[in-house]
Amino acid sequence: MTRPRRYLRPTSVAEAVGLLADLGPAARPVAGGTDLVVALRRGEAAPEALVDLTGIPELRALAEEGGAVRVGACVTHARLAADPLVGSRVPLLALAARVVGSAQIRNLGTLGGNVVNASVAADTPPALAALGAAAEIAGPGGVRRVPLGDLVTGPGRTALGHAEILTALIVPLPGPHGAAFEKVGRRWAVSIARLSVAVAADPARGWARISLGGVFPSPRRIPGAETALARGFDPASAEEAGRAAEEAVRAVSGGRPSMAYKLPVVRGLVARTALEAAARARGGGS
Amino acid sequence: MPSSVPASRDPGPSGEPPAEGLTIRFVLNGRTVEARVEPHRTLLWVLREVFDLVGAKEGCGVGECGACTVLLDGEAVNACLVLAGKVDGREVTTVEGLGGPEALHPLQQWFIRKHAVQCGYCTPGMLLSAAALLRRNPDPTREEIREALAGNLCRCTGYVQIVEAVRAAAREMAGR
Repeated sequence: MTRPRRYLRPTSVAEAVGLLADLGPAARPVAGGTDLVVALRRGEAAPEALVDLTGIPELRALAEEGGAVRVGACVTHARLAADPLVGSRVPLLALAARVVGSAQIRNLGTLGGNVVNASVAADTPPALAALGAAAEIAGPGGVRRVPLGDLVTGPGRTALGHAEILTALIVPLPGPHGAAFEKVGRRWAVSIARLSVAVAADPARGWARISLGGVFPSPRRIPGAETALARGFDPASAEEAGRAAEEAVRAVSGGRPSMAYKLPVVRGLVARTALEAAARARGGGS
Repeated sequence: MPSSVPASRDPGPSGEPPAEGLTIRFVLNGRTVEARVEPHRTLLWVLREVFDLVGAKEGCGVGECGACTVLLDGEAVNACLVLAGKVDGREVTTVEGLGGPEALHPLQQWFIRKHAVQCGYCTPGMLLSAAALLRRNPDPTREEIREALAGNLCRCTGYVQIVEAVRAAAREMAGR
C-alpha cells in the first residue's frame, strides 16, 4: 500500500489550487473524507499527498446570493439538514441531506464531496438536479460555472480538470414549493440507496421537478414525469408521472438485471413521492 | 496520559521516502494534548495507539458500525474516518471523558440500570451518539433517539433497552 506522505492544509482556494497544480495528479483533495479514507484503507486510492479543503472558510460558507443559495462545497450534510435558510427556501436539499449515511457520517461528509465522488447512488445529487443546481469550479485558469449535469459525467467520473476543485453548488431559488425525497435501500440508515426519488412541486403555479438517483449513470430530471404531474397534482396525474418515470428508466437502463425489480418500484415510488410533495405544497410546509 | 508522544515508526515498503510527520494539537477530554503522526493516520488510531484510550473500538473500519464514535467539537463522528490532520485545533471527547467509574454520566448509569449493555462492544459509541443527541435535543422522542443511533450497530440486538436508557437519562438530566 502506498501511503500519503504529506498532509497539507491550505486556508484559501487560491492556495489549494496552487498546491494541486504544483503537486500534480499524485495529490488528492480531501473534504469530509468519508469516501476517501475508506478508499485509502482498501488501497483503491494511493495519493502521495492529501490536500485538506475543510480549513478554507469560503468553502464552508452558506448564504443566499442573487436569487440562489450558494452552498460552499465543504458544508456538511448535518449543517444542510438543519440550516433554516436551506430548510425554508430549498427544503428538497435539506430532506436529501438528512438521509445521507448516519448522524456520524452527516457530521463529516460534505455536499461537494457527495457530488464529486459521483456515486450513482448518492443522495444529494438527485435533489440538486431537480433544483437545477450549478457547480462553481476553481482552477489554475480561474473560476467557471457549469450545470451540475456537466460536472458529473458518469459513475465515479467528473469533468474536473487538473488542479480544479469544486468550490460551491449554486441552487437557484425555485419559489415556494412542497418537497419530498424517498429512497430505497436494504435499510434506511447507512445503506446505499438502490433508488432515490426527489420531487419539488408547486401546484399553485403549476410546476413540478422530478429526478431519480440510482438508476441513471448520473442524476437527471424526467421532463415527461414532470409534465404528467403538472396536469393535476392529483392521484391520477401522479400515477401518470410514475409511468413516465418508469419508461424513462427503461429507455436508459432497461437492460440491467436489477430492473425487473426496480421498474415497478420506480413507478410506485415516483407516484407516491409526487403526491407527497404536492400535499406539502398545499399544506404550506414540507 | 502523555501530553506529547513521538510518531510511531512503521516500516514502509522499501525504497519509499519517509512520510512527512504532522503535528496535531487538540483538546482531548478537557486536556490540551499534542501528537506527531503520519498523514494517513486516523483519529481512532491516535486515540487508541498514542493516547491509550481504547473505549472507541474499530468494528468495521469504514464508517458503518459506529463502534468508533467519538465527539468532535461536540458532534458525533466515526473516528475511523477522521484523518488525524483534521483534529488539529479541535476538541475531542471519548467515552473516557464522558464519565469515569467515580462519576458516571447519567447515560452510563441508565445504560447499566436498563440492561442496555450486553457484550459492551458498541456501548461507548452508543453513549457518545446519545450524548450528542441530548446536547442538541434534551427531550427526544423515541423516533429521534432511533434516528440518532441509526449509525450504531448492536449485534447483540439489545436496541429496545438502549432506547429506554437514553429516554430515562434524558428525563433525569432534565429533572423530570
